[in-house]
Amino acid sequence: MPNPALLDTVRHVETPEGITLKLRVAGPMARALAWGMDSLIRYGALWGLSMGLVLLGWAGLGVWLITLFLLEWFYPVVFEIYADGATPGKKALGLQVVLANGAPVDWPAALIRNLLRAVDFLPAFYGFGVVALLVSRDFQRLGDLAAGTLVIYRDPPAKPLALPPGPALPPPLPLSAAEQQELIAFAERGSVLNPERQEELAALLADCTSGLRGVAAVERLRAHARWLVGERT
Amino acid sequence: MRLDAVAAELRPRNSWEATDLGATMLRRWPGPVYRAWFALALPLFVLLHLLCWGHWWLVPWLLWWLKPLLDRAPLYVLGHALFGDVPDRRRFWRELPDLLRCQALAALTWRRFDPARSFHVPVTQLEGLAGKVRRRRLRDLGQPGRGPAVWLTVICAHLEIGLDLALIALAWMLIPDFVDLEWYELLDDAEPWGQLWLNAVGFCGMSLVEPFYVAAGFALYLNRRTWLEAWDLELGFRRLAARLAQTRPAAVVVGLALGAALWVGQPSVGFAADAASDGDLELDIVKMRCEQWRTRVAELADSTDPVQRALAETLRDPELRACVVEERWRWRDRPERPAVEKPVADGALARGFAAGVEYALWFALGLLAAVAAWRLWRQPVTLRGRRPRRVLAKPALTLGRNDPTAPPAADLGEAAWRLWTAGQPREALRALYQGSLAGLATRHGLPVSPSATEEDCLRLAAARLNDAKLLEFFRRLTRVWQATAYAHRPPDETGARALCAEWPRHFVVPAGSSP
Repeated sequence: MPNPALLDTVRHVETPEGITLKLRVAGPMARALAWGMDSLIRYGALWGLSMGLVLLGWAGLGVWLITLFLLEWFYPVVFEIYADGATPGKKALGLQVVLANGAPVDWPAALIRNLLRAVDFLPAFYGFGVVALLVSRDFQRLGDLAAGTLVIYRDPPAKPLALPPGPALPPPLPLSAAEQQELIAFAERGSVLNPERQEELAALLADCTSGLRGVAAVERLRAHARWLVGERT
Repeated sequence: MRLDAVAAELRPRNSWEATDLGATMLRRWPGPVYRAWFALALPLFVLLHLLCWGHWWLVPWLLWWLKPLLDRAPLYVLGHALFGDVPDRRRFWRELPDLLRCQALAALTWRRFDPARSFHVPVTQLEGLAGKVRRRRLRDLGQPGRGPAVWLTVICAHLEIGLDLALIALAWMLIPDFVDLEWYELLDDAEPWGQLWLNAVGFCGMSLVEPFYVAAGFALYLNRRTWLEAWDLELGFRRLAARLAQTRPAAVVVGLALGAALWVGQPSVGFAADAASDGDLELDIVKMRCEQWRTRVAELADSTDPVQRALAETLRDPELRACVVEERWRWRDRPERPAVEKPVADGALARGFAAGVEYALWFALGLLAAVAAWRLWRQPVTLRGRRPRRVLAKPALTLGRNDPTAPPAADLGEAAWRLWTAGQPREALRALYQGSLAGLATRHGLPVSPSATEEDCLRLAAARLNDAKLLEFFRRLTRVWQATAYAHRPPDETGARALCAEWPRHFVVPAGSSP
């Protein structure tokens, strides 16, 4: 159960079904990088286009200017609507634009948040946008606040559990969901944690491992974790 | 460092999320952090101008060069605040000299150009490591933390420049037309005043970004350690262990300094002593063990071996103390009195201020009354012209069933068949079903509540009805009705006909007999 007093960057949205969604709101760093990537893509495309259009003279300039206008204002809108709420830059950083309630972004919201980019750009180089981003609770720039949108980290696709093989043992007492998850995470992160640290952690649960010590305690906890994910041996 | 006092949710994050946590930390303690920053940076800004009198163009460069020292103040505050201990002003000033002295030369020379500075500084400043140990520690923390830290430096440099330009643009926007100033004059550093203005802008930009930079780097460092040391699991396991200790009856774990106990290496001194929560015997045992612990630490402290003395020093740390025995007297039946708050000293100033506020409040009340009276006198219409609130009629229950109060009509079966032949199978079945419910409620005394679902009715009927045939019919009818109503799959004609024909047999009471 999340403790609201603890600092975190997660926004909790409760659906009508009583399910709490956790939206991991994205802050200035990831968004600045995504913006930089998008800018490179846009200006790269414009530069490439200008190479071709220069042959057409004034008409080419006209086409180029129209393209500039469209790219500048509607590049993010179109991608956010048709590409799952993410421009290529955002996709590369694993970001996604959603409505404040977690629903996919819709036309009005996408239009508002991207037209108000002009306000965020004021007085120059996204001055207001950056300050709003740092000050607002869910890292929203002014356009996001007006449109009621959030930029969140897209959850990575679920991976299969990677528990080290071995025997499975039922835990000696009933565990809450959070405690079960912790045990499973302990077994899963065996490759990241060094062995001494694992023994230290296992020593904390001396009651659970019935007094085993060292590697044996770690192994016992892993066996419980394997049982919890459904392995039976 | 006590993990249970940490004020942030510890979980392994990706690096960008970690920097976001840094921004959140800054938002949580903006006062202490910025106070610490300005306490150091503002005097330095003024001092540098005084020292470089006539060469003010040097000031931004020197400020930039001294950033590693300036960063120490916000990091000091954040490092303490995160573990529930926001340092007050006096402590900050007391510890500041040490803070600035520690490895200052290295920080200002060869480490000044470390692109992942924000990530590496906590190791130096908070862990207090230097030399070879520090290098090994950095290697342990490893590459995955370093890349994002470099990006952090790059982005913050851009942010700072962008904010400087934004500030200049803002100033230019806010300068009224009649002031004879062109925008490029705002960028002119030929005059000393122009240089001072640009320095001030640069200082503002730096002050906005630098604490964020420090906080984000600190968060990256925390995140890396959370990954490597599984802080989240440690917290969870500690909670679980505490829960288990509570569920064991009459056994209280007095002090759990496992690691410490192992170090001291004397298994007979069981620091993780179990003792009953009350009872003098247990208290004596606890006291005895505490005494043993104290003697052991004292022995260590008296030893000639510097390692053992250092060990004793460590073990005396309140966070590692194995046990504390506290005894005090208390009235047996009287609850402890809550501490009485000291009344605020009532000086003349306070009284005067209170009187002023009181008059202001009375005046505001009078003003409010006057405005209300004036509004009433001028525009009484707005108050009169209220439309009465309309109450919407409750919609009648037309779908599904209504509340059966009257017995069903005797010719319901034929009526339903007529509806069927008129091409309204749904209406026909509804009539049959509702009629059945009405019959069950009135003839058989089935207490069907208006909110009962079809399944509820069926269950109720199965529990209450003795007539197996009737029950079988009702069940069949319910299924047919459900299929028609919810799945839009009406029965075929023979089935419907059978239902219509059979209905009166169960629900129409022959004339003359009464239930």
